[in-house]
Amino acid sequence: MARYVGQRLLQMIPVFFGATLLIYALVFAMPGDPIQAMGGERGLPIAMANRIRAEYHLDQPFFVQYWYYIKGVFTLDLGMSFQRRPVFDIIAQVYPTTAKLAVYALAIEGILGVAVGLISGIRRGGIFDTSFLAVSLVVISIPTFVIGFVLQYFIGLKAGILPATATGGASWRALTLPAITLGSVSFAYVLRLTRTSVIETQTADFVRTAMAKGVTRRKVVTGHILRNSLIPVVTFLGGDLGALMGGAIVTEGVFHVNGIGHTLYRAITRGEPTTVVSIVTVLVIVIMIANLLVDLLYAALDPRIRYAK
Amino acid sequence: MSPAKKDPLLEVRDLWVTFETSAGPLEAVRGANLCVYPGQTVAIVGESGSGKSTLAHSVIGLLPGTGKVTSGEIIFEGEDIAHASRKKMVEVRGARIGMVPQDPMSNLDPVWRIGRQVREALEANGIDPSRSTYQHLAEELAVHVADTEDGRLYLSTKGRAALLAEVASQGIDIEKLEEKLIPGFTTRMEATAFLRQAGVTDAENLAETHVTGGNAKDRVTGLLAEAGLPDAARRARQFPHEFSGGMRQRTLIAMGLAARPALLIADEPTSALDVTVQRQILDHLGNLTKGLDTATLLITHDLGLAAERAEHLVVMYRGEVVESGPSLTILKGPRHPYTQRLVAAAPSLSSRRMRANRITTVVENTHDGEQAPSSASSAVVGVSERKAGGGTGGRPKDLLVIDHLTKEFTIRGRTPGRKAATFKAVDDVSFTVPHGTTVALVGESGSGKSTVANIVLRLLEPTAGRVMFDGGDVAHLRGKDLFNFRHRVQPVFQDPYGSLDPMYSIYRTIEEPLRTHKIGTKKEREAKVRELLDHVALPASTMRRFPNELSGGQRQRVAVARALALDPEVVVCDEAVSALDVLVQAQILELLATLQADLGLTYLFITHDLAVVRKVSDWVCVMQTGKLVEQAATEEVFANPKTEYTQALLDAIPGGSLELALSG
Repeated sequence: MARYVGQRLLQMIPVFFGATLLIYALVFAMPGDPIQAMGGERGLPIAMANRIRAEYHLDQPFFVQYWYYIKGVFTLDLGMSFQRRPVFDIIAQVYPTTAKLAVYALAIEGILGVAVGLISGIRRGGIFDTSFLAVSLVVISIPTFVIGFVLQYFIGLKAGILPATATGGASWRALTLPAITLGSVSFAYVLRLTRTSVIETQTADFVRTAMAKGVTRRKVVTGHILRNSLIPVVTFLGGDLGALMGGAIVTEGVFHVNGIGHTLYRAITRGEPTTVVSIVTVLVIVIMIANLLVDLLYAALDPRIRYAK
Repeated sequence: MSPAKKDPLLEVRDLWVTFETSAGPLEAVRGANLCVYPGQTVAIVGESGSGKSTLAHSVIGLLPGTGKVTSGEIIFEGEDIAHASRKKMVEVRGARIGMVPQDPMSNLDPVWRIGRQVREALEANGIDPSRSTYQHLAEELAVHVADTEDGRLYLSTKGRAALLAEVASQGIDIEKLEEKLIPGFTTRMEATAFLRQAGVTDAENLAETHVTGGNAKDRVTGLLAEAGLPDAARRARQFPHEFSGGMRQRTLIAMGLAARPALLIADEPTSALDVTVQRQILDHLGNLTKGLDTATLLITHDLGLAAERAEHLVVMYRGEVVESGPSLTILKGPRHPYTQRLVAAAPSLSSRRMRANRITTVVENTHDGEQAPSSASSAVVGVSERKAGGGTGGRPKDLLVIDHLTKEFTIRGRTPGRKAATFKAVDDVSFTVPHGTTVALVGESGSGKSTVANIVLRLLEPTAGRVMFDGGDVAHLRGKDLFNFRHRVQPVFQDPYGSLDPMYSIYRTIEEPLRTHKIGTKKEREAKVRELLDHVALPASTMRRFPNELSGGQRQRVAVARALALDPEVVVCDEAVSALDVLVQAQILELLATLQADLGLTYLFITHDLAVVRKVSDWVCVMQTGKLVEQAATEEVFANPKTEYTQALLDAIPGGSLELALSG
């Protein structure tokens, strides 16, 4: 197991350099001069602009800039934003909110999706199955932001059950509607994936053998069917965890959640290369770690994977 | 016998089982009757689709999908369980009726440890793991041998260690005892006896102190050991994918018998295994059920195997029981035409009787009805002519020469840096295949026979040695020469389900090699496909169909037709008939013989089944763990096997022991 984890960590190194280099190149290929933009319509005096350029190493060749940047990453110095705040502090401030939201959404889609999918699969063709299949189809076909606005309007504003926005702070309560919005589409996919997987596993020979041993139906479902059906679902949830950890620009925008997605969006619109690159780098690392965790979970679920590597 | 034997344990009366399909209801079992007495072994014999497995599954209440018992009764221990409640069936399953399923590969949960799966069978039925349990009948007998409650306590792992230590301190050699004392298996009574045998003075006292009942873990080890799994304690902690097929089957047997059921349903328990393993497992299962006095309902397609293992046979055909009675009576005088065909076709039986003349096989099998090739009679002439010619005209030239062939595979190394370990799959194998003959390559799985086939086909490169085809080294073929080689040497693989592309129509499958080699115009190719289908005795309309619409036998015919499309000189048949039912198997073998006579084909026949070998081949090469251990003319190998291994393979042919009974 330790060997497997070590191998995976080593694999991360080329991925890290490849990804950051690509992002760095892309961001610097963005049109416009951010330094000039800082001065507004009149622009900055040339001397001042040059001073700022030198400060941010913007007058150096691309690879030198990249070198300074990488050095910064490893010394946890991500540089300064144009507002003279350390980028590290900005990320440290907003990231917990995004992480909280991601975990919340993942819990909703994972727990509900698997539970509903399991029942649907076992009672295939019943009323429960048919109605949830319809629900999942509706959720999949509506854009996420529409679901967000609908929830915000009816539950947040009209009924007033839950806060309509997270402007007052990112409490669990305030994040409920964004989490539901964010998890809704994946919930539908998890449901369908679990359902199909359960239907398939149900007819497996080893399930029949377990029944032949005299094991009760309930125990066969929880012990054999569920665990074997979860393998494809975990793969999907793993990918989704990565996506959620990357922040949800649209949903965070709708509910005014001050998360990484929102911050990244602002940095892009303002054309702040340092901030954008730093945030994306952190996201790359987070997503890689999330994927590693999922692979470990995968191995825990399926012993064949543990030994195959 | 005891009075309990009078009432049947299981009685199936006029049972009908129906499946709802999109094409309407399908009656899989039609008015079946059968009877199993306590302790008796009854075999249901029939081809796939005969309803034998459906009948067995209805007994244990586990009909798949839409299957339903529509009428009739299943009386088990005096109660009708055909329409019993779900709760009642959960009580019956495992505890009263056990099952050993068909395919060891798919019947164990891949994510659970072996031990836990066996333990589940104990827990589900509320079995006390500390002491031995018997099923009812044996329970009555046990009382007579003064078997006390405490005498049934199992030895535990801890107790075993303590006991052995104490015996050793008396200065007695414990080596033999170590083998006999198995935790979770040896009872106090047995332990006392073993200790006495070993010359321990206070055997009873020692047994009483140290044999105080095992826990569930010990019992699982004991059950696995009982089923013949070596090193059971360690094995119980492994996962199914770390087990071989035979080991998995032993695990399934341990699970089926864990709760000491009165009836064990063994559904083709060994069909997926090698012959030698098959024999070991069936022997073991037979001894176990006899020892435990468990009645067995054995489901099999192999008449020879059934007759050898069961006292009573029930022959099923298309959902109906066509004949039933004592095994020998049925074998000696089959009354129903289907049973007669089965007896004639069973390779394990017929090949023994057809020892002297291979031609008779062809003649007898043409009576098989179902689409017998029209050219069969000419085939007989062809074969006999060739045989006669072979006697006088000297040796035909060697088309294939396998010369000191060696193939090594690297085993994925555990530690990086160190040189990877290698495994010799084929070790210095040499033999020749003369033109127009059939050479059989025989061995168990893992013997390297398929690797040889793959090297001959040049799907693998040899590590050392050469394969010469028509004078040229196969390994040196490049580009166009290789393309031409592919033209002349064709394979037919084992699995008729896996070797045809499900998305290709039969026409496209057979035409593909022609198209690839740019042979003929579109019209000519179509004519060729028609001709090929005719060769393999399939109607021309087959070409518009898809593999999933064909039976296993029909698919294998298609595979043969595809192989013949390019008029090859050599056909490599890798277990080409192993997956097929006996009757279909006989048809395909006969087809291959006919084609050989008509087209002068040369066959390299890879199989684990010596019974099949006798029917088709001129020369036999026996392989064991990569080495060629014996090669000789077919008759010679069967009459005078030179190595123990060949003898073991011969002994493993089911039904072998019946020969005497039949000829008597």
